Amino acid sequence: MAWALGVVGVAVSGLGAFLHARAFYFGWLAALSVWIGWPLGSLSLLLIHRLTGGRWGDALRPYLRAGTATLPLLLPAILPVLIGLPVLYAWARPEQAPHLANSFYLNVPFFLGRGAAYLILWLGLAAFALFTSPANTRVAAIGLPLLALTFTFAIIDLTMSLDPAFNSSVYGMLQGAGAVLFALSLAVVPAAWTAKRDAVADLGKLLLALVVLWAYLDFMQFLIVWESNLSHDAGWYQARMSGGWAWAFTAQAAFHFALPFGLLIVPGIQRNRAAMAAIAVLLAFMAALRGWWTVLPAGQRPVGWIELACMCGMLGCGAGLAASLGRTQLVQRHV
Amino acid sequence: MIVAGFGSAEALRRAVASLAPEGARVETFTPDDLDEATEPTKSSAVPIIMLGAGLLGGFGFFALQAYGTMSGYPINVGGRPDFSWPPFIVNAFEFGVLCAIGAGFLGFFAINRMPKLFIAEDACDELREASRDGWFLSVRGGDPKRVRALLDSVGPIALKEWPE
Repeated sequence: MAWALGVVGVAVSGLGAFLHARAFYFGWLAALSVWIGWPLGSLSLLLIHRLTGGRWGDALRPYLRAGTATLPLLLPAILPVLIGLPVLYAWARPEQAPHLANSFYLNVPFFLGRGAAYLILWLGLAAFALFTSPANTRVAAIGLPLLALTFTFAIIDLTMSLDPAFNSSVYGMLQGAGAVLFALSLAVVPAAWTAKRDAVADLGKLLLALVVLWAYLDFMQFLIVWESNLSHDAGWYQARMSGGWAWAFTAQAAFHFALPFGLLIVPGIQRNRAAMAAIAVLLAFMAALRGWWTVLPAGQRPVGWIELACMCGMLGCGAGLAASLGRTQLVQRHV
Repeated sequence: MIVAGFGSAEALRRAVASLAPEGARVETFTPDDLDEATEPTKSSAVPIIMLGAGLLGGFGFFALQAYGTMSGYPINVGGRPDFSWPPFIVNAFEFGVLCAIGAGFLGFFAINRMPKLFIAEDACDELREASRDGWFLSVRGGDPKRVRALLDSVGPIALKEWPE
């Protein structure tokens, strides 16, 4: 079913690319920036569990391994972004780039070189996590900080540079927390049914901790921008707090933090499998909304059928691939 | 109050289970942990006390800041409205956490009658075995005759009335 949703989504978004190229590029970038959290977030949780151990990771391992194994999907998925670079980014337009102070860093050749380096490192770490025995911890200890750093740089390139004037030093960590929360939510949806009773409560506590971390970082970024009140930073929020996006902003405070937080602190809910799966589904949907809210205002685009098709296509193909790979020897061998 | 001791955790568990329908207040004194499932404690009030104190402290501190900047000492800061609430959240959150933790600490003491440094069980010589290898319980309330009969049927190593 996930494959069907993904294929239909990709087909419809391909149609959208012919009818309205700009909508497609922004929609696809939003979908990609959400989906990338799944394999990379899963990878980071696998590496963390190698170092810390714990029954939470034993309960999640098959789903995290399946999520990590979908990373090669990034290779075809990044193509539309590369083709649409001049549409998406001011620094990739020959007529605008020379006027930007940070064009020494934000330019097409350097962007492609950095991207290739990140990709090689990520694929290497994913191969390490999938093929080596869980007892092998050394590479995990070196790989985790590298993964955090490269994710920070990559997400700054992909989404923060849409507005070349916007500065936020917490941006990478904030998006990283969101990515790990997204990956954990997607792993908890099936694990809530298959994990042992005690482990379900552990998963609830982990979700709670990540929800709080994400909300803390997100609120701090907002508060610092609000207090400094500088036009280039406040403008980023201005575009995301006016018109229909004001609803998306409020919805995140309510459904990406307040409601899951209020539910997850109740011990009875932490132990309830159906409630945990429902909260995880809510968090995953909110991550998709968050991706739209981050990316689309930069292109002055609302959420239309093309954006919806891109999100369904990207996440559907990701879920289909994860489900298919989950049954193979690749994922099963160290479960 | 009736004090009874048993030779094993299993016997104590059976005694606690048999007393459950009596509506008496049972406390256990054991040399090792009892399983969570068999401990005769009801759900604790501490989480509720902490939640209440946390919400009260958080919203109270938010209100205090709103009062201070809107009505008490309104100051123009960078042309912002007097009710500039985003930074209030930080202090309100911190104070809410402080209140919740303080209330949890004090509430735990209050529920366990903390200032009272002596309970009747302390003077009972047989009960000292609980720190070595005896599994004890004390029962307050209930019908003494029925409680004694129930405890006797489990096979206690000690069973006596003790003045409260």
